[in-house]
Amino acid sequence: MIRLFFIISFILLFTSCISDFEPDKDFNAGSERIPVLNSFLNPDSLIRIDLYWSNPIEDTTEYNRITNARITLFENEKQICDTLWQKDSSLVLKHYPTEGFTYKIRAEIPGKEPLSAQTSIPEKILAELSVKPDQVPHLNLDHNLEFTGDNTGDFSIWIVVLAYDTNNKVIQAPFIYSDVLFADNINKYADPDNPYMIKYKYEFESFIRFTKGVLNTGSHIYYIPFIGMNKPAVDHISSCIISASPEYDLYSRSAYTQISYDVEVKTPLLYQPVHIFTNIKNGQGVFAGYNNNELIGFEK
Amino acid sequence: MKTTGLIFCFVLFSIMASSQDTIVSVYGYVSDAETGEVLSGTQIVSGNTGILSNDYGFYSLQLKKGNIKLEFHYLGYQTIIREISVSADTRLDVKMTSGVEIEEVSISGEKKQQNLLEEYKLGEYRIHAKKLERLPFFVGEADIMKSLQLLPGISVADEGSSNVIIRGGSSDQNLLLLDEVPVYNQNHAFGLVSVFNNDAIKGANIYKGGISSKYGGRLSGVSSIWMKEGNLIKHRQSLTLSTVAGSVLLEGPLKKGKSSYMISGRRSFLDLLYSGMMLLTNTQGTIPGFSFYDVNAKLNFVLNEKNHLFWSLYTGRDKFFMKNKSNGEKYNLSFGWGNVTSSLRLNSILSEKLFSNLTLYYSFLDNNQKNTIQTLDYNSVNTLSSKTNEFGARITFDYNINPNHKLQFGLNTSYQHFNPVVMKWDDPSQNQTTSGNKFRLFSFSPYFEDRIILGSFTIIPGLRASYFNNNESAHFRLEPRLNMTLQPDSANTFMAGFTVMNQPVFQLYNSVYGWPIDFWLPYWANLKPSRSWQVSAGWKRKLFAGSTITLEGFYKKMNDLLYVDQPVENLVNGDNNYQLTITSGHSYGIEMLYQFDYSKLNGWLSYTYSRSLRSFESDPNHESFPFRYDRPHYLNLVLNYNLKKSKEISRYFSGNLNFRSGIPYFLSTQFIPGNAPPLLNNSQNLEYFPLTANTRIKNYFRLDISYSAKKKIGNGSRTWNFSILNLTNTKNPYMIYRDNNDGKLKQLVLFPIMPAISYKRSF
Repeated sequence: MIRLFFIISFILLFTSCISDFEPDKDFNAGSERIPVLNSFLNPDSLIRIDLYWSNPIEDTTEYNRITNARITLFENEKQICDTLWQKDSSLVLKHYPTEGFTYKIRAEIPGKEPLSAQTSIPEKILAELSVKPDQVPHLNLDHNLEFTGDNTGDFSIWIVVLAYDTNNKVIQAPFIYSDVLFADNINKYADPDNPYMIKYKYEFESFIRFTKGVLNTGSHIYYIPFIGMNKPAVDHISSCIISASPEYDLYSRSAYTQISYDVEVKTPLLYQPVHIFTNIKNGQGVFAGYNNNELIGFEK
Repeated sequence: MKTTGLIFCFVLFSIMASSQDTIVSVYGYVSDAETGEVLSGTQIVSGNTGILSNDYGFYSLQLKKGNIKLEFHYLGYQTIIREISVSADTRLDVKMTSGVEIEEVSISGEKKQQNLLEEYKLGEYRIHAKKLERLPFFVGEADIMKSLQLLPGISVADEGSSNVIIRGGSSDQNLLLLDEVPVYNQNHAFGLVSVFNNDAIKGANIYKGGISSKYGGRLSGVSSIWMKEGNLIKHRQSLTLSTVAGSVLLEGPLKKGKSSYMISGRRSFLDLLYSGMMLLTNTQGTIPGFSFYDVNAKLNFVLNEKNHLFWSLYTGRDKFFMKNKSNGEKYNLSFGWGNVTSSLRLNSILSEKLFSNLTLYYSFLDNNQKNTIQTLDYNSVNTLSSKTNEFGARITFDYNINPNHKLQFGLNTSYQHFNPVVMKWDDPSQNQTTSGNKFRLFSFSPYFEDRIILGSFTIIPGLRASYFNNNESAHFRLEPRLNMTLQPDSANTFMAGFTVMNQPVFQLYNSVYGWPIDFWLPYWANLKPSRSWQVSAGWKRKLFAGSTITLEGFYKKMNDLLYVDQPVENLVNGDNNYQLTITSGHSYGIEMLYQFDYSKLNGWLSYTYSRSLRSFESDPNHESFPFRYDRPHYLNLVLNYNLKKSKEISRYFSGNLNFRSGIPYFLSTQFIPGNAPPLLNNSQNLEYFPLTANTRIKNYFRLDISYSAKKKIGNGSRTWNFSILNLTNTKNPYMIYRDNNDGKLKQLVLFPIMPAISYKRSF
């Protein structure tokens, strides 16, 4: 009981100091909707371009698309698209991006400064993935990832692990445990409940990020526990080995940093605004190239 | 090299030109009669000639042969008058006796001796530690850094922080020295108190403009704090208990009059109380808490008449922890940060005119996050830390050529090593330590300063040459300095100054911790050492007995400033995707200081209007935006009222009122759709924050009051202090965030109304 008293007192010490904040009345008045351009270029997918208007904070409705934009796209300085896009949907070009090529985009919106951006497609990372049988049935899978190519290119690496059902639909993003010391620490935790005594637990959407040039070792092992997973529903587990352009990397990292922050968990003392990276001139969003080597590990 | 040669020639010429047969030197140390500690800033006057003892208590006054009358003045001490006949150079060490209670307010940027022009330094203040007890305490602690925040042109960085902002700079633009050693972190937990334990320090000099060429390496200001040297005459002890911490001071002679020691320790005890209660009542569950400690130590050796040797040490540490214990298993998470500084200093009287100070020093800052797992069959310790080391040497020469001409020259050199990311894993299977990128910086800076008095006009030209090398690129920078003072009559003084400064190091805030766990790095990648120039001018007028008014204006331009607009971990982890954002900036302002000293009431009123603006160097239009600590207005009223004052008892009431404009802040105004396949396949609502601040935190207001009662008991005294912080319980926001649950903006207030008590007993 006394312990409870002290815990409550400790919490009250801070929560009693939290109150609603009323900003200056006009701080939001001049805030116009911002044009947002999102496009991720990947050699395995057709080019897709999305244009939206941002929503004011108090507006929780769907984002409105920008429906009267003139979009031009260049591939290694050669124009591959010039269209006035008026549909309330994504613009999908019947064109696959090419590894090593540079892309430039320009979107002209009436009454706005034209949006523009540039990116390139990094080379695919060559790797092999092998899976050991379950050491402890229904608990974990040991994935041994061996990088077989030259991975010293100008890119960052994201390893994203996804679990699919029989309909090839992503159903879960399992936790990952790994002993990789030099992975980014943004989602890396030492887990006291770790059943395998492995160093790091990677939370949220199951990814491990490596900064450019850091990963020069041959292989490493990561573990995908089935703790809390509905294993019977899992048809297979894929490991996406992503070589990221600087735009993809900076955008994804800032987005993850922002949305993973939970003020209720981390306490307001640790909060600070996180700016979302953008390479869109005169707007927001991202125009980013990446390459994905998706390797299937566990299969039912 | 060429510059060094020129300086040498100039010095030689000055020495040769100064020899005059009819002039003799009277020189020596000025010290406290009760403690033997030297007194810097003592006024020594003879007729119309005067000088101040230097930072090390040494003075040298050049006078005509014959009978002379010398007066020694020091605030709070009885004036000493000596009439002597001199026919040759004469050593005269003076011991001053502490007078009755100090009546002057504890700020002494200006002196009362109107003909001592060298005392009228532009933008310089001196604060004596023992006078801090006259100001309202902060959570029961007298704190020198909190006191600095009450001066014009100097403001607090963030709510609760001990960091100061000087004339629109950032907190890392202030050179903070403890016994001439750079200190990298000045905050204890939550900024409750600074790392400078008032029991252990003697005083501080603060420079915000017209900065001497002796100092460099930062753009905006210098705070030089001095530790006590230890009582050479008798053993003294004191014990202080405050609301947050307890401290002990021991000092005394090792050999009377020849050597002394001083050791002081302070520790917070909130964690002991809280954790102790938790442990007594429960053996399971999570125990949170924080703690800090400081240890100051100093040894003082009078080697002989000409040489004094000092060794000083400071170490302090903070720890925030979460301890979890259940079923015999322990899981601990802790954040910690701390400083170590140490210096060895030799003061030498080389001749009746020439004094030198040689300092060898070491400074260390580290911070870490530590996870400990302790189970029946498994133990591991996982640590992520960063470390900053600095080794350096300073040598300073004071050459008193004649009463109207004083030369100071010297050299600073340092080697800094930065290891911002060190990961260590220790468990039964392996013991690994790996580091991220390491950075190094070598600095070398000769300087000189020449003080020339021409009647009522004093001019102090100076030059500092700075060489920085980070192993990748080297930069050589010249830093001219100029200070001028004109005193047309006894009531008015006009001052002007010009200062060029360079800064090769930067402080980065770790966005993950959001705690005072900071990275320091030298310039790297496309970043160059920052540079600034500042012009300032001021006017001071004596109004009536004991009151003065000072007006100062300044304009400062800064270039090559790092603008941190993203999480910084990868900036230091060799991730070249993160391009540094570089800004330039300028600040300007007007500062007013009115000091008053009536019979029982003294204090000061200060008001500052200043702006601090930045612009992106990539912006062709160089459009300005308010800097993070842009506070247009700040006002401080400090009052101290003597209720009773006698040899046995003194009681006084003090208060300070603090108003300042709210600082710029970022609030999200829009949601933008975001995704990043395959990581974030589904569209997410991302908050859009503009790159520059779009609102301001509300204006800040705080009223603190304090009552102190001191009574002499035997050879010592006891002092009670009762204080109330934020008497009006004004909700001054520490930070603002958007609540995930209701989407509303919330503010966190660190310091609501907060009573505190402290007790000090000295023996």
